[in-house]
Amino acid sequence: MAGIGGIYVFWALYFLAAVVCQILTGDFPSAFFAFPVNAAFMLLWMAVLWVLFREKRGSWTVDRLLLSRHTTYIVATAAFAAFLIQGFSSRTCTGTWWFVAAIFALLTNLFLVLLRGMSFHRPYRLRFFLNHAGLFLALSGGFFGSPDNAELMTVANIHVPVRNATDKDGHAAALDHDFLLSGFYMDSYMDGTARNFEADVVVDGRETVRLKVNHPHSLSWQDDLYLYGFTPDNAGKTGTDSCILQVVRHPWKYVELAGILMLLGGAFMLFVQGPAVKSSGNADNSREGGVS
Amino acid sequence: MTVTWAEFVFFAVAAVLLWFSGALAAWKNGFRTALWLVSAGLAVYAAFIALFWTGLHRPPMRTLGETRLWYSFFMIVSGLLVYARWKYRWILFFSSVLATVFVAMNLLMPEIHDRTLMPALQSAWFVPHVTVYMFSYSVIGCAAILAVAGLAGKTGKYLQTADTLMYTGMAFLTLGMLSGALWAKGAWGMYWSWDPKETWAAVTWLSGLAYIHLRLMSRGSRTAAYLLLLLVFAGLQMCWYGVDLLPSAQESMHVYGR
Repeated sequence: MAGIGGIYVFWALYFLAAVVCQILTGDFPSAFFAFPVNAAFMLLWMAVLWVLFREKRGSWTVDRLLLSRHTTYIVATAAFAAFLIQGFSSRTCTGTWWFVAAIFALLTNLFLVLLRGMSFHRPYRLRFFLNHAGLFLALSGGFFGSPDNAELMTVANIHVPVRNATDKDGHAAALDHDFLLSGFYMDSYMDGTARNFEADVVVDGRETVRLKVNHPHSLSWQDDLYLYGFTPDNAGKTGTDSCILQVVRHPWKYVELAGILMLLGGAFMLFVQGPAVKSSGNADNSREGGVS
Repeated sequence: MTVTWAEFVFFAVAAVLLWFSGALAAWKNGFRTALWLVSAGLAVYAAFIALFWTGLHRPPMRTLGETRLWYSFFMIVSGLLVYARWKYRWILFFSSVLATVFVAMNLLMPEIHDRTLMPALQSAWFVPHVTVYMFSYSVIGCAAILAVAGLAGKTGKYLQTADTLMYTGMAFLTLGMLSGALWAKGAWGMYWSWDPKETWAAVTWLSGLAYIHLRLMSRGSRTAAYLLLLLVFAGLQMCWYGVDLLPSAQESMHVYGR
């Protein structure tokens, strides 16, 4: 299956398999990849790519199938198509097999491009590293970490501490903390709509925290508490004896943040340094596409 | 000493005159004169913001009118930085026009002065996020104009300038997208939620990356490069306001004011 045609055949079969899986099994079983499976799989996958790059450089599999410009065109186009479908769709498609396949292929190509780009001396080396490694970390943190994320909603009131919540699908879930509302402050317009609102919440009967929109409270290294909204009373007016809280579990946020900060640095360097020196324009696949 | 919106017109007229004088000086290759004049305009504008801030006893970042102040301020700052770095003769004129549009909105639409933002928008991220996005939109818009000219004239002579514009535009587009991600984390819990607005931002960003990499590899025809530029510009329009018209945006967290 050597040659350029083989590359297109392979990736066509890859995405076709994703579509078939979608039809036969429904959405991707992301729950199976919750920690530690996702972390182990990610490390193993990166190690395999690293070994392939080090030991099999020059082979059709690495140089053509995984790292050629044709592959970059294919996976970038597939990701673009997946984003477009999601952009036009009213339902969330990010859990589908084909969306997962597109992101995984993109990450695979991106990681190998990063390895290749850092394997030789080049202009704009730091900028290349920040942009490509930053994108890889931000994207892979969101991709591999998504099975561990949770967004739980609960209504805290002034009477009894709450410890139960519901997830995004409406399923009941238990919280690791209990919350009791001790004060709610609201600033309204003349027409009664909210200008600003804040809540004092007692966490686990010990600590009182002031919550407001855009200012979450850190419950632990992976959990943050957000003031989501408030509940109107029976008359439809703003009640002050309850508020809606959101507990967000996001353990991979540090990986994503590291990627975002690196990308910010890369974007700054893109502005300061400007357009890269053009490559020679030859057809040597070993160094193409890596000056940015 | 404090000021109110009633005095804004005096500061605004003085600042705009200085900005356009600076833009004219830049066009005539008066580099230092341009820097001084535009900086003086910025100082006048900053003086209004500082005095206004003092009078309000809070940062002026809450109402639509107040955020327009920052748009125009940072638009000039961005233009000045680009001019100081790259010495494009046209950039100060361009940024002055955009900043003046926002100044004019504040002068001609006084009803927005007191239109308070919803709580989620009352964030320190609001002004930098929107400002860098607006600047990237404008710079990439310039590149799209060059693409139309290149396609119409069947010439590749605009590609080099388009490259420079796209590097600047993509840098700011990235800063805008990532500042939005950091803001989203503080407001909603996740850096990225594949909300329709975010998805279209990703589509636009990917298109911009495709252009940069196509040009880096020196592959593809000039027509392909120009068409990619137009695709990026189309993506920007979707991202800015087109997405609001899609059925998928009905549940979007980014569509305000309904």
